[in-house]
Amino acid sequence: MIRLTRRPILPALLALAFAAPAFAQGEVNLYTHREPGLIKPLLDRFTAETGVKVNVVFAANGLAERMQSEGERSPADLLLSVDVATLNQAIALGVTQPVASPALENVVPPHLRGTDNGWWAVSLRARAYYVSRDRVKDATLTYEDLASPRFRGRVCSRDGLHPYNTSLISAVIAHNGEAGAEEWLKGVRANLAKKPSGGDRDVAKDIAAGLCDIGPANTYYMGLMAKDPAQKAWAEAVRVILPTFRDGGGTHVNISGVVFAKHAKNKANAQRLVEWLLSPAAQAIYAEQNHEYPVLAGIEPNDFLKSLGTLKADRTPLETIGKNRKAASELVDKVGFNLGPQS
Amino acid sequence: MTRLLRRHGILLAAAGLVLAALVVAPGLGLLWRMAQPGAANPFALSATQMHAVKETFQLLLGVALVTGILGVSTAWLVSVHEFPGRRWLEIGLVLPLAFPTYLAAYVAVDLFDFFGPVQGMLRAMFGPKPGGGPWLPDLRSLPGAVAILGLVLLPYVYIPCRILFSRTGRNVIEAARLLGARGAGLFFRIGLPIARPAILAGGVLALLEALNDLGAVEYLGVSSLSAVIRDLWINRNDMAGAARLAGLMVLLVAALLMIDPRARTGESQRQAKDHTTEPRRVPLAGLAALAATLFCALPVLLGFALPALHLGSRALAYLGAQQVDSELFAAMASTLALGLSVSLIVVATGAIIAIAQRTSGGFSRLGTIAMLGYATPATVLVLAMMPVIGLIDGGVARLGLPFLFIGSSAAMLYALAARFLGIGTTQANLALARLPTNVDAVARIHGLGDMALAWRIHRPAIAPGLKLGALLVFIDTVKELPATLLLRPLNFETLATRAYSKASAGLFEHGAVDSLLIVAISAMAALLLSRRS
Repeated sequence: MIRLTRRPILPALLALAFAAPAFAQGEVNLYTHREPGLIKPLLDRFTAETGVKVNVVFAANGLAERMQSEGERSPADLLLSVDVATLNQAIALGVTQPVASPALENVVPPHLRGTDNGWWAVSLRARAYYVSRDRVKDATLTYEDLASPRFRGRVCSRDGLHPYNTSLISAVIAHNGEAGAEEWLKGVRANLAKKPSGGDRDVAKDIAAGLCDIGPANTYYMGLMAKDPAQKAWAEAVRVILPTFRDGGGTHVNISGVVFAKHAKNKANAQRLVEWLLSPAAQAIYAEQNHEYPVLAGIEPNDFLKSLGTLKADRTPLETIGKNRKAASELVDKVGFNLGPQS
Repeated sequence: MTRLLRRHGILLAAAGLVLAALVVAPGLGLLWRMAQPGAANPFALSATQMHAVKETFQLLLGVALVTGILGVSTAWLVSVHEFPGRRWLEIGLVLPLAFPTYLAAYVAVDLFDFFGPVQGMLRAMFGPKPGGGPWLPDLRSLPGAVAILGLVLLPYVYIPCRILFSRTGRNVIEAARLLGARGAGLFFRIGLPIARPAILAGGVLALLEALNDLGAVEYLGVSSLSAVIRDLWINRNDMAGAARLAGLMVLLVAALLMIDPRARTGESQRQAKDHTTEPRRVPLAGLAALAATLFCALPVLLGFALPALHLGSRALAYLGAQQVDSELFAAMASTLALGLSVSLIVVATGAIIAIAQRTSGGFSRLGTIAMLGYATPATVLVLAMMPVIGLIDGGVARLGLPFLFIGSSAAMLYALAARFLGIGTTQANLALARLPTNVDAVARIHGLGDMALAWRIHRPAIAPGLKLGALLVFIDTVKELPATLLLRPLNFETLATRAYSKASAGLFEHGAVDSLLIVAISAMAALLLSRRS
C-alpha cells in the first residue's frame, strides 16, 4: 500500500523540478461539502506535484445555492459533495456543466458517473451494519434483516433524515418498491431500542454500552475509532457486516463526488485536479487515510477494509438513489421513524 | 417623508433610510424564497412534523423554565445575600455563555455517557450497576436537551436580573426589608416582580437561541422545527416550502416579541437610572449558606467548569497525538477580527437606529424587524440573503466595477450584522430610554441641531449600554456558524468553522483545540461582561 502511494512521487517531483517554471502557477477554487481535513493531505500533495494552488471553502449545506446567487461571476470551479443527491441537486439548480474527459471516462465506470458525465465519483462509502461481537452471531445479514422480529428492541440509529440514512432507504426503495420499503422501515422502527440520535460512531458506542446490538453506520468510522485510544473499546465491542439485499443486490454504497461549476474560470486546472484525485496514488491515499473504497479498479482497499471482507457493491444506479431521496424522506416521516420505538 | 427630512437632519434620516433598507432586505429575500413554487404547505404538516413542532415547544418551555428559575434565583442570591464563595460565583455564573450550544451537547454527552469519565468513576466506586446498563439517564433525550441548553443559556437571564437587582437595589429592597419582608417572602413579593422585564428580555434571547439551534438538538435526538425545515430543503428539494415554514416560525417569534414590548424598551429601567449602591447583603449562615453556595455553584460546575475541563483534557490528548497546524493561529486572528468588526458594526448601527427613532419618531418598527433577524433560523436567513446579495452584485457589475460582493468579507459581515443587529438596537434603546426626553428639549432650546444632539448628548448616554451589547455580539459572533460558514471567502477559516467541520464529520474531538479556544475567548469576553455588571 505504502509503495503504491510513494511510487509516483519521484517522477512527480522530477516533473515538478523541471516543469516548475512553466507550471508553478494557477489555482483552482473548490467548494466542498466534505470535511476539509479529510481531503487536505490529498490537496496538499496535488499542489506539491502540480504547483496549482487549491482554494477551499467548506459548508455542510447550501454551496450550490451560493453558486446560484453568485451567478456567472462565481469563483467556484468545482463542487465536492459526500452524497449523490446533493450533486444532482446542484445539477438541477443549473450551476454545473458536464465535462468530456477521455482520461476520466477511461477510469470511472459508467455507474459511478452521472448521465452525460454530469458528475464524477472520486471515492466510495459503504453503508454497513455495526453489530455486537458478543450478542450477534450472524456471519452475514441482509439489509432487510434489520426489520426482523428477532432484533426487537435491539436496534440503534442516528436521525432517519440524515443523508446517510435517506440514501440507504432510497436503496431499499429501489430493491423492494415503496410499499416494501415502508413495511421494512416500520419493522426497523418497531425494533429500535431508543429514539434515533447521535452520529454513526454513537451506534458503536451504544452497542458497546449494551444499549442495543445492531445499527446502520458507515464503515470508515470503524477505522477511525480503532486508531483513537479513547474509542478503541467501542470499536472492539463491535463487528462490521457488509449487508446485501435479499433480491441479490450488493452492499449499498454512496459516493463522494464532484461536479464542474458552470462558470468555472479555471476549468483546465479543475479537470486536472479531478483527474489527479482519480490517479492510483490519490486513490490509495483515500483508502489508506480515510478508510474509503477506491473508485479506480485495481487499487486495493487498505488492511482495515480488507478485514471486513470483499465489498460487493450494489449495482443500483446512483442516479436512482438520488431520485429516491424525496420518497425516502417522506417514508421516514410517514412511518414516524424519528419518534423512536413508541410514540 | 418630506416632513421627516425638513424637521430632522437630512443626514440622520438618510442614514436611517439606508440602514432600514439593509435591515429589511433579508426579510424581502425570505418573502421571495417563500413565493417560489414549492410543494410544502406550512399549514398541512404531517403527524411527524407536528410532533417536531410539539417537541420544539416542549424544549422551549423547558429551557424557559430552567433559565428563568435558575437565572433569577441565582441572581437574587448573589445580589442580596452573603455566603461562602459568593464573589466567585457571581462572576462564574456568566461563564456558561462561552459554550456554543452544539459544543455543549457533544461535550456533555462525551462526559456523562456510559464511556465518559463520570460513569467510569461511578463504576470504579460502586461497580457495575445492578442489572447492567448505564448509571446515569441518557442525555441524548428531550430532558437532556433541556438541561444542556438551559444551563448554557442561563446567563441570558442571569445577567439582566443581576444588573436589575444591583441597580434598583437599595431603594426597593431596603424599603421592603424595613417593612418586614424577609427571605422567600422578599424574593417572591419584591424580587420576582421587579425582575419581570429582565426575565422576559433575557428569556426571549435564550429562547431564540434554543429555537435557532439545529446541531445540538439533532445530536441529542430531539425533533425540531429547524430539522423539518432543513429536511424540506435538502431531502425534498423544496426550498420554497422550507422558507414558508421558516416564515411561519418568524411570525411566531414576532408574536413572542409582542408579549410585553415594555419589557424591552426599558419601562422599569427608567426608574433605575439612579446608580445607587448595591443592596446590603444579608449574610446566610449554617445550612442556608451551604445550600446557597451549592445552588449557585451547580450551574457553574455543570454549565462551564466540568465541560471546559473535559474539553481541555481532550484537547491535550489530541495535542499529544498530533501537531497543531499552522492555520490555527490564522483562524484565531480571523475569529478575533471578525468578532471585533461585527460587534463594532452592530453597535454603531444599533445606535444610529435608536437615535433616529428617538429624534424623528420614524422607523419605530425597525428595532423589532432587526430582532427578527436574530429569530429567523440562521441558515434560512443566510439563504434568504443570498439573492439579495446577488442583486447588490448585479448592481455593482452594472456600474462596471470588478468586484464580487458575495463570497467577500463584506457580504459575510453584512449577514452577521443583520443577524445580530437586534442585540445592538435593544441595548441602545435600553440605554437611551434611561435619558429623560426633556434633556433633548433643553438641548434644543440651547440651539443644538439634530446631529449635535446625537453626538453630544445621545452618544455619551448610549455608550455604557453599547459596551454590553458589543460584548454580547462579540461572543455570539465568535460562536456563530451558519452565516460565517456559508458566506465566507475562499480559504477563510475561523475557530468555529474549523471546529464545526470536524464535528460535522462526527469527529468533534479532532476540533477540541479550536473548540477550547472558542470557549476561552468567549469566557474572557463574558468575564468583561460580568465586570461591567
